[in-house]
Amino acid sequence: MSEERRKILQMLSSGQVSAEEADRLLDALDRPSAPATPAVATLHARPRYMRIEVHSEGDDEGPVRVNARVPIQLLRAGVKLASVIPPRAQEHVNEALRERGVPFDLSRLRPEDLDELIEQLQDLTLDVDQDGDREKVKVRVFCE
Amino acid sequence: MPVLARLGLRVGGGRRFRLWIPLPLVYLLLAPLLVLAMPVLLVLCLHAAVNPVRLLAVAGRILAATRGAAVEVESREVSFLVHIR
Repeated sequence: MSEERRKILQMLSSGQVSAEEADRLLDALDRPSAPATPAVATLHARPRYMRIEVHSEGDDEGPVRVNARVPIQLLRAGVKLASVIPPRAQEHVNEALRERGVPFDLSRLRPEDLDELIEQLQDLTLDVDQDGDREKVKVRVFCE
Repeated sequence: MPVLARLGLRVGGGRRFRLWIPLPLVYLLLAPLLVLAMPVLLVLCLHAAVNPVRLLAVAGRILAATRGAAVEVESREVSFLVHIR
């Protein structure tokens, strides 16, 4: 835990700031500092989050919005988790994926592959529109 | 490591409940349970041929990486949000 975070939590526990103010301060700490020049920032900016937005316009229950922000570090950690899975279990997973038409080998999953995927996702916005009889679903996946 | 979890819930047209949870306190409360669960975890790891040290390292890494994660679901009837900071 950084010193700034510790101070904010101490201020919260001592009642110097409200929970909402502490939340805003922690949010400000999470935000990257302003870049000197936008051009340089664009060149070196690396996405920190993958965002998934789902907007469904159901007839009966009204519109439903889902907004999820997944840290890229969490995806990296997930790849590491795959390496911990014992080989026998990996075979079972691979077989189950193959049966569902996904020919994917878990043992070949490497952090470098994820880097490549993130690199591609940086400039990708995926829009899925499903026009059914009753509802319309829009899904957006992008990195920011 | 994440230090604060913000939870929000609204059911129907009712009042929105918000809850801020200081996670270091949760870690302190769960630490004794983790120590108690350690032998069981060790036996399970040996049975499944998984390196327990590596598993713990990855679990710690996943926990640390959850900082910044957020999920918000909003519909006419229910809305909830989870923010981890």
